[in-house]
Amino acid sequence: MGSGAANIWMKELRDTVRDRKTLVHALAVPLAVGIAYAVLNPLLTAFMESKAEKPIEVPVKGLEYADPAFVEVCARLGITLVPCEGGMEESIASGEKPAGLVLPPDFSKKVAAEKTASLDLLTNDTAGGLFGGKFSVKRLELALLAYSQTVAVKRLAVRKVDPALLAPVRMDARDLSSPAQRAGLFAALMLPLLVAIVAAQGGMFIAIDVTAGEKERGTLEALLATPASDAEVFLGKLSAVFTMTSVPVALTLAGFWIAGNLLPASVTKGAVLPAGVVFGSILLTLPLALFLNVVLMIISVRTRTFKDAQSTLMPVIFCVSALAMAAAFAPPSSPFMFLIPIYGTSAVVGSLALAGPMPEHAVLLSMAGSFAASAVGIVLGLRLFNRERLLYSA
Amino acid sequence: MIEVRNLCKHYGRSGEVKAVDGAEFRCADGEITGLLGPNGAGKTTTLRIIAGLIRPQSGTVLVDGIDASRDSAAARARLGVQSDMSGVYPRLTSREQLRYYGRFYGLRGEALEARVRYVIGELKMADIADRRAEGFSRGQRQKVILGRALVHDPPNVIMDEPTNGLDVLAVRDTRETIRSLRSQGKCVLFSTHYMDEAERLCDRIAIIASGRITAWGTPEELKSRTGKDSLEDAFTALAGPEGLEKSGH
Repeated sequence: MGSGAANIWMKELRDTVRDRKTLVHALAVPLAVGIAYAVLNPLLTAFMESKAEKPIEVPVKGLEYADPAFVEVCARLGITLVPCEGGMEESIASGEKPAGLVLPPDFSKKVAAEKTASLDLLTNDTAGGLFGGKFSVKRLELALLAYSQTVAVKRLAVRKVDPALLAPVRMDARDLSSPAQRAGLFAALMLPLLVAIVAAQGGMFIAIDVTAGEKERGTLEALLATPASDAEVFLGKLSAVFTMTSVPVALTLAGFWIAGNLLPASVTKGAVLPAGVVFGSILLTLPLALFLNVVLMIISVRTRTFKDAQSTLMPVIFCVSALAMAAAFAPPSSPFMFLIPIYGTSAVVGSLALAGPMPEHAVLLSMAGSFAASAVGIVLGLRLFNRERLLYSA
Repeated sequence: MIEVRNLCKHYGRSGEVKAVDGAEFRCADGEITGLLGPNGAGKTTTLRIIAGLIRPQSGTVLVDGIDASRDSAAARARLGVQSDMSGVYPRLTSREQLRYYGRFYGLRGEALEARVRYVIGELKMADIADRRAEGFSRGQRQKVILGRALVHDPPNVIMDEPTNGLDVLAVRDTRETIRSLRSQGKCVLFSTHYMDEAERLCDRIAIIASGRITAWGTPEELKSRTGKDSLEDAFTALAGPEGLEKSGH
């Protein structure tokens, strides 16, 4: 039983290694993706941090009514107030500007008269994309709060009242996150998705080539006429697909880690994922890759041509991405949810990337889930892998 | 030796398509048996059942006395199969393809290499032995396919339309190979719809029509049975409505 499977495994590996197109797809693309993402990760972190500090210009209608102290507070927070020219509401609604202020003529007078002065803050959270509008609004709110406190302190000082009376509680916030954890912020979202997609797509072309591709070339009939059993043929091909998937999975994550470490510290600011996270992810992903290989094999074995198999397998890639995304946005609420293939592994990889606490037994459960699903898939695959059905049914 | 007894393979929900319908014939060692029939007669299905690629609904295939439905792997191990759908692995050399197939039959090491060398010599494929099969002509591909079927020195060889689509030289080479297999004492069963090929090569002919063997015998016996001078006329009589009626349809 073993020798036939080993013979098929060796032949499929040799065949794949000689196929430049498949090889590029299996090796160069994952490596490039890993490196690209490694570069992107610290850049995104740096971009987010710089976004919070970048000077912004805010159009103001009625700037002439502003208290100079208000302008000064805003300037300290990197906000330059500029007089509004043209229709402010239109430019904010269209997303051209993320926010604007409207000061009434009596703004300064009311402040001076120690009355509540109101102003309008117009915003568009969608302006500037995902990392745009909300940042500007947050800083403007901060500036208004700071100005409001400054005015209040002055008023209390005039009355010889200790300003501490107005602040019975003071909060000093300190960010204790490590550079690795900061690096993991995006990685926790992106790494599980990347890992799941590479595990699914890394084996897709090979799974198709050894099944539908072999049918299309007309070599499957001759292979099935040999004494090799159905199980040997299925397991031999599955082993080859798994071997060839493990390489891109390892390459993607290794490329991710190597590139992250080669980047200058001025770019990464120490925010590089530890080797343990990356290599732990490789180990976690291998059982997942096996499960996905089984799924790809079962489906592509039923198709007749390479093209047919490619289009049939597209929903699998979509499902894999959806489950990996689900793990990022709705992490498991009970330990048993880690057993769900793809979802459980993605959740564990996400937790690893965040370098935070790992739920008890999560690693074991996620691996057990993938192995159990693979075992069920292999049994099903062996039942479906029937010579006659394989060769002659659509 | 290959024996086929009351073989049936029906398709469709209620089995209305009778691809093979009670076929019976015997192919002896050291003889070439031709399976002759019009398109859709059931030749390929019959050969695929013998090769263990399709399970029949009923009937028996014995390969050297081994019941193929009971011990399919053992029966397949005694067969060399060249099917009409066969292709080659474009990224492997001819030699690598022969080795690949040889290993399925337990050949290893020097025994495998010796068989591969022998087949390469027999089929005159030295010029393509170490070339990858990508870009091979139809004739060159046919040699690789035939080589794969023969690498384990099977006592029984089945071929589905082996000369189909080949040029004159390749046809001549293939026919020589078939004769050589007979002289080695092998049982050769092949399907064809070329009358002259059947007449020149076959010791016995089984005529198949609508999945049923309508006649069986040497070319001379078939001609004398129908009173015709040529095998083509005999075939027309035996595979046509009259032949079907006589065989019980």
